[in-house]
Amino acid sequence: MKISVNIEHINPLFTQLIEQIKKAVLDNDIAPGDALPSIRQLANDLDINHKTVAKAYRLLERDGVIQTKGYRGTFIHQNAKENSTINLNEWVLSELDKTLTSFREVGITESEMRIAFNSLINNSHN
Amino acid sequence: MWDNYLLYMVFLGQIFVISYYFPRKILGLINNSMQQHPRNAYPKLYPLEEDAIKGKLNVFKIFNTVVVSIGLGILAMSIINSSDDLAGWDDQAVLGAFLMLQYLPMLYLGTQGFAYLKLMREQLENKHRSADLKPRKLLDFVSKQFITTAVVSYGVCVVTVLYFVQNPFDGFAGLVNILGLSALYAGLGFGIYQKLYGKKHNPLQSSKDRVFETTVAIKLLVLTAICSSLYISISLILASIDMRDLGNLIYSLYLQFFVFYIYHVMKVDHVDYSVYKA
Repeated sequence: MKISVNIEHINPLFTQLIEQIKKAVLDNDIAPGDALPSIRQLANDLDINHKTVAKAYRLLERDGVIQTKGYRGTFIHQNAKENSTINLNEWVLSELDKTLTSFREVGITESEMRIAFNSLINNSHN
Repeated sequence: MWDNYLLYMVFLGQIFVISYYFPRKILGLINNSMQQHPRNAYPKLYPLEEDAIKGKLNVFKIFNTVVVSIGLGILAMSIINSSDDLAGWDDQAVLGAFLMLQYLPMLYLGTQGFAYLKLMREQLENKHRSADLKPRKLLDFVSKQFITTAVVSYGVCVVTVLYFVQNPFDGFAGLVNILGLSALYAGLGFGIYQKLYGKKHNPLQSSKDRVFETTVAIKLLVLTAICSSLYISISLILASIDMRDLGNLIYSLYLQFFVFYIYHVMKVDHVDYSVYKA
C-alpha cells in the first residue's frame, strides 16, 4: 500500500495524509491491527517535515483511526472503519455555522464575533 | 624466513584486491551501466555531463594507481632490505595505515556518489512524493540468526578480553579493546538505523531496488560487526601465544575476502532503470 502527497496542492500535507489513511481504511487496503510506519520513516520517505507527519498521526489518533502502543509503534485502530466515516472538521464547521447564524439574527457584527472568538481561544490557551 | 614471504604475499594480495581488482570491477559496472543506458534514453540518470562523470572516474583510477605504486614501493623496500617487518616498521601499523590509504579512493568515490544523487534530487521537479505505508523492520532484511551471531560474537570478544585482563600478556591494551569494539558496534548500529529509517538518497529509486540495497547494506554492516569481534578475539589469542604476526596475516586476508564478498553481493543486473527514462 502506497501513500502519496502533492507538495503544491491547495490542501495542507497533513490533511492529505489523514485523508489517504482514512481512505485506505475504508477501501480495506489496510486492516485494523496493521502496523503503520514510524513518523521518522514516513517523513523521510516522503521528504517532508517530521512535525507534519506527527500532526497527521496525532489527529488520526484523536479521531480513533490509529492508536499508538508505546515503543511497539502505531497501529490501525480496531474501530478505524467506523471512525473514518466521521469527519470532525465538517462537524465543527456545521456547528459554527449554526452559532454564527443565530448571532447574525440578533444583529451581532462580524468584528464583534471575531473579537469574542479570538478572546475565547486565547483564554482557553492561557 | 617463510613467514616473511607469506606476509609479502598477503600484502601483495591486499594491494591487488583492494586497490586494483575491486576498483576495476566498480569502474566496469559504472561504464557498462552508462553504455547500456545512454543519456538520450535515460536523461534522469545523468544530472551531470558524461565528460564530467568520466573525469571523476579518471580521478578515482589515478588515485588507485598512486596507492598501488606506494604499496608496491613498500613491498619492494621490504624485499630488498630482507626486513622482518614491512618497510622496517611494525607490520600491523603498516597494514593498518596502508588500508587507510586504500580507503581514500573509495571515500572519494562515495562522496562523489552522494554529490551526484544530491544533483539528481535538485534537478527533479517532482511535486508528487510517495512512500510505502508499511513499517520497515530490521528482521525484514536480515535473519534472526545473523543478528544473534553478531551479539554472541560480541559476547565472545568481551569474555576473551576479560580473560586476558586476568591473565595479561606483553602489549595487551586491556579494557580499551571492549571500548573500541563497543564504539564500532554503536557506529554500525547507527548505520543500520540510518539505512532503515533515514532519507532516501536516490529520489527515483524503485521500492524493489531500495529493499535490495537496504538488505545488502544491512547484511554487510552486521557481517562487519561479526568479523570485527571475531578478529579481535583471534588476534588477542594469537598475541598471547606469541603469534602476533599470524594475526596480521589474518587481518589482511579478512579484508580481501570481505572485498570479494562485497563485489559478490553488489549486483546491478536487476536494477530498474525505467525510472530514469524521460
